[in-house]
Amino acid sequence: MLTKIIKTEWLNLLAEKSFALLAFALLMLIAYSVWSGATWVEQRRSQTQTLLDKQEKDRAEAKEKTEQGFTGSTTPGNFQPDPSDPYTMGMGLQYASMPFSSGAVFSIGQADVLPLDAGVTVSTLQRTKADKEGFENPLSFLSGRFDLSFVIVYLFPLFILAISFNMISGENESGTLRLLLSQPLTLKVLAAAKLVALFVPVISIVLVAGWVGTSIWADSVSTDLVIRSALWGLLVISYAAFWFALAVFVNSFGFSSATNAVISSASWLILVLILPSLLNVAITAAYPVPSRSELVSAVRSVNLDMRRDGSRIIAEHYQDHPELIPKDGKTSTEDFGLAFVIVQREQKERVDAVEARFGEQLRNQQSLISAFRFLSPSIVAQEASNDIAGTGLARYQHFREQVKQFDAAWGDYFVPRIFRKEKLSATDFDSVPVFKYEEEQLASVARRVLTGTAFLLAAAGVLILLGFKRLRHFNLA
Amino acid sequence: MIIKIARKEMTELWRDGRFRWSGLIVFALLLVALAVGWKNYTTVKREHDTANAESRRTWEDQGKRNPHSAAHFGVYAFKPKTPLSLIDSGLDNYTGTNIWVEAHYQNPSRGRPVEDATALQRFGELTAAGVLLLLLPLLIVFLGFDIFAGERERGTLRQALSIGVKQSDFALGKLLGLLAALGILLVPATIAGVLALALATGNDLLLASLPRFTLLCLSYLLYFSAFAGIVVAVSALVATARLSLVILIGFWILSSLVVPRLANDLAERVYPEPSSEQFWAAIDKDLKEGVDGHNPANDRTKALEEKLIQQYGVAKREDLPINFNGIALNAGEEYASQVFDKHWSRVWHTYYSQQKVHQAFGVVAPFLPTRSLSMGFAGTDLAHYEDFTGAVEQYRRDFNRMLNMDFAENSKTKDGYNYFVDRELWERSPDFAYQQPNVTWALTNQIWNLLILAAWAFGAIAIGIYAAVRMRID
Repeated sequence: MLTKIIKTEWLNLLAEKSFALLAFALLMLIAYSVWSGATWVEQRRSQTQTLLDKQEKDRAEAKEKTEQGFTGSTTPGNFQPDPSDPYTMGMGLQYASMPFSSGAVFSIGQADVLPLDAGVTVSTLQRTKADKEGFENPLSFLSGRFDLSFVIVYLFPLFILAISFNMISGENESGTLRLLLSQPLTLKVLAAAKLVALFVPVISIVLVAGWVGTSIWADSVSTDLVIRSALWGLLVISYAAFWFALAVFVNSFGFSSATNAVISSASWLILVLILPSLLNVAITAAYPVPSRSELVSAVRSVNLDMRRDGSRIIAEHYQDHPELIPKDGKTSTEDFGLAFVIVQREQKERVDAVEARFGEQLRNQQSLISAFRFLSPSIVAQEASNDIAGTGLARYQHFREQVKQFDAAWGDYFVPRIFRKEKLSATDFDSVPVFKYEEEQLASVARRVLTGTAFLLAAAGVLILLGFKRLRHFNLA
Repeated sequence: MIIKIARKEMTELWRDGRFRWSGLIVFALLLVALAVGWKNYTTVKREHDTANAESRRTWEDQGKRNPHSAAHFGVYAFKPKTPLSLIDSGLDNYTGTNIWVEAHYQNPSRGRPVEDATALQRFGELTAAGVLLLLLPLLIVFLGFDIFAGERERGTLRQALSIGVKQSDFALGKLLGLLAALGILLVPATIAGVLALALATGNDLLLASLPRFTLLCLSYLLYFSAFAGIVVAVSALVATARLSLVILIGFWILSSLVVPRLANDLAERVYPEPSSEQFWAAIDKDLKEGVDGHNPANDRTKALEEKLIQQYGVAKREDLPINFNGIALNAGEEYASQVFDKHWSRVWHTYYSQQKVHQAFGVVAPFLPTRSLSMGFAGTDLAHYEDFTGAVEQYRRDFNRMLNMDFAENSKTKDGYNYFVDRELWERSPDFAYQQPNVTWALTNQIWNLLILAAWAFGAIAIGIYAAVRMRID
């Protein structure tokens, strides 16, 4: 019986122009958003590549010059630093970049606002190009990106509600429900059949479009991509299940189609727009981030100490670190460069301490979100999309941890050499620390995503059960 | 008669639980948003006042130093929060909050609040403007989608019109009733807005903000009228309440969700911003080789030297009565200013071109011109941001000129770098003070958006009334 009704429903859907129109619109939206996201990722990736290529080229050049015995030039108008001086490279800027994951197209997430190319140096970043960035139009952050997760998180539920808000009330109003129920058929079976009949084609459209789209843009179909795609598929299925279940639940009250439409769209509004922004108010009140101006103060106060007594600072530093005294024993307390390094190191420590507080508050906020995301299926879906795409806060902080370690290694390599006034040999260039991003464990990504989808499915189950229970007392028109 | 119909319509809406509940929720959200905005405004203002004072104090307390090395130390300029940002924070989350004012570089602003937030913020910040832009139109849709369609379905439309009411009076009355019902919500909300503003600012600032606040209210009024007109038109033209609702919600989705992102996406494709790498590489190249590649830095210094030698009638650089390095630094700043103007104006040109795309899409989505107007009058849009960065840059140039000229005129030693000055000069150097542009300026920037929105409002109301006059009665 069930399959027979499903088949009839499908024939009805095929005949209905509005369904075809909506389905076509959804397909177009997905195609556009995948294209838009993929081209954005590609552009961002090539910018990073330019940066890294230049870095590699510069290093090769420095090595070559060192091999040739070049020690810089101080001719006015043609100043060139000594490439073998550890100060030159150590105090210079290195970029450590977070590559996009294979699933980046699923959601741009925070990748547009968070700096993916982190600057690393012995000094603070204040005087480097890494602190002179950010040419994106603020208007575009405000508008948000037209990526796949926008279509899935915001528009997909509306699409589902649009085709299902009158799944039972419509039949009831046109009088066909009474006719249908005169057959050996209960309302529950009919509702279940309608649910399946709508769910299957809708899910198929989205999954096929999403998967085909993302794999077209992928360099290769790796295991990583397959796993991420599978997780995304599961997310789409459970998210859709929730909204279909909501439609059944709303229909079970037996209101008119117009009332159902109002209730459905109001629920969407509350779950997708209002609750997330209210939760945001709550979490930022619970764990406010410090003020950015504190960071400014941190880079400025020590600067004064240095200028007041540079030679004392150097003398004290050598006293505290006898291992850093040059081999020939000659320490110069008048060396402006050394005093600068010492002060920069101290400023860096202060900046790191403030930055750590930013990081900690964000982590606190994030753990509140993880706990309270279940208030709204959209928060669950957004968090999961970002996790799958590797464009959320978790992966970014994972990256920042590695940058911190790399920054420490960079300092450990260069600072002693600077103070001991050791020149770099050509072979030393090969042992300079190199940043290599270690990907986040896919298992922990999967765990976070699966908790979210499990919740969505459970919520869908509860709504369907409640709805079916109510259907027993449905008033026929 | 019109008034009577309006009053009846309003009373009915008011008695309707649907309106009372949704109205109450929207009103409560508005109040929460205002409270959040107020708290945010006062916190950020306090932080920035402290930071500004701190930056100046550090500057004055820096002790003995060469003027140019002091210029490298520089000062920080912090972007002030505008009072009306408590209603519409606009771009505030996405623009930097401070700019480092130093020698040689016109720096971009840093410290965008969005970098210190979780992804949750991307759902949209809870602001009064957000509630007015997104939720209120939907409330109008919920209230009015069956204003005619519902009566037609129930058959009460024929009845009402059979007692001799002119159909145009009937339509106008219904529209007024709908707007009056909204008024019940909006008047107290406006009062709450003024109160929040008064709490956050002093009397002077409150008075100064009133013209902007009035224009802000007017913009929203136009926006709501546009939606009311569309709702009436659709409800009059469409056969069933259900279809009317689906069309109206569809329009709302397009106007406030889909079109803004689409406009943004297309704008970026047509007018891409430079990457930082490209931007600074182009600047470094121009500084080194000259703006058009014809006047390299070395030649410029040589020419300057010859010019000064001639001007003072001396034989060589060392005999100059002023310090050459100071003059050269100043000339370098002046040259760099041309280079920065060239490249920064390109960046701004790109932003504004993108903004024009958003503006053009306003013709199909009333959300867009309203958002612009709201940010524009709140002082949190692109133009205000540019005005602030422009003021900082002007300040930076004056600041550097003063330090370099002091260096040139007062240091008598050979290269001048062992010339030191103290507090007296630091205190004498200009302090950064920023004045927000006036309301006329803001209005001029927004004139197109205002026209587009007004066209929406008047056009929609006209069509609404026309449709209601011509509608099928059953």
